[in-house]
Amino acid sequence: MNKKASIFHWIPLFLIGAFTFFIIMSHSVDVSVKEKGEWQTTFLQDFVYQGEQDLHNLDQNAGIVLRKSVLQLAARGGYYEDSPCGKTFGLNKLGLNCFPEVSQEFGLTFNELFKGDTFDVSIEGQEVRGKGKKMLNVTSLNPQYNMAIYEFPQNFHVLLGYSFNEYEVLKSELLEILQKCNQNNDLNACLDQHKKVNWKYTDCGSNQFKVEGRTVPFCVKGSKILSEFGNGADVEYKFAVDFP
Amino acid sequence: MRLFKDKKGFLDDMMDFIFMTVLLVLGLILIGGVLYFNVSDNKDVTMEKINFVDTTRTHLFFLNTATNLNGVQTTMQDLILYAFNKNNPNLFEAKTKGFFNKYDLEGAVEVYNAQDYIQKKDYKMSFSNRFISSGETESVLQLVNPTNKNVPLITVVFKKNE
Repeated sequence: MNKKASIFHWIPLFLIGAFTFFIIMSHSVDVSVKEKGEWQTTFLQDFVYQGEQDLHNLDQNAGIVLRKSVLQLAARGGYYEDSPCGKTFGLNKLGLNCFPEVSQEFGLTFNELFKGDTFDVSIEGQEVRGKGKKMLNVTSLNPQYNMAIYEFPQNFHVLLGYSFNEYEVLKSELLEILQKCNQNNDLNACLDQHKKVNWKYTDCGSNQFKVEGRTVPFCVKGSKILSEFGNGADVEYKFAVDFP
Repeated sequence: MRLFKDKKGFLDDMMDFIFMTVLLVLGLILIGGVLYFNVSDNKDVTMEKINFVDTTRTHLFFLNTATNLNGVQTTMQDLILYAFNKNNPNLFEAKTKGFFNKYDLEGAVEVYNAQDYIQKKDYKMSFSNRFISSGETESVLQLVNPTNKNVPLITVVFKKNE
């Protein structure tokens, strides 16, 4: 054999030996396949996904409390506490100078009922958004990322299926009957003539006319909202009106 | 024969060269195959994780989709709770089918009592429009069920075919 060509014998032999060595070692050592973008996919799965679950739970809990708040606020005539015009028949008085700032009153009612963080509540049509003061933290059980914390604001966004514009409608109807029946001697007849069909006296079920001086209690039936039992519950606005 | 007789070492070198070339080609095929399948497996693992996150996103969208229940505007998750508590799988199936048709999805949704899910028991309600159950990704979320003291939590499993 040509001595110069002898190297060609050794190179293939070396390659075969290396290949055999690799096959033997790969059986005893785990040669795992790592995904591309390991950090990014781990971040999505361990942190973002967990965060989305936490926010989903918050949305659900907030939704339950929001619906209770709608019913409670309506039962108080739109006020979180007492009306500045006082109370009669145990109901808040509404009038020309006494009508609640609904978004503010609703936020106060919600924060009273919701156990946990305090939220800045804002209303957009039939949707309610809440901006939390605290941050939510997510950590990973993966030992490679156990020092990492994913932090995000604790906000919720819920489709309520109820429009707060009903308060604007209520206000315009209230002003209308105040204008028509103010200083009218026969209050009952005047109100029977001018009040809307969904305006009931005293109680939405009984519709029994009551008066104390010139103050009359009303119950106005609004739209339906989902109750906690999954049925449609009427939003009932309960308040008293003074006809001086 | 005369040619080979004169070039005695030539044949040896030529055979060595051919042998080496064949081995190198085989070696390159081996390396190429390893790299190709490795990249393919890498991609598969990455896509698996991305599909999981995408399925969860679709699952959340499904639960928050607006729908109508008893004349009230609400979301699918409220409808699922209602259908579960009132034992009305037909309502659940009809609304879920509407969602899948609207967004042209193929998959399944199963609703369990959370305890039954942990114990690997059967679901209470389900919907499926898939013909083949392979190549699907699964997302699992829980819903709070405040009105039912016997079943305070329900598990909704969302399966999407890729």
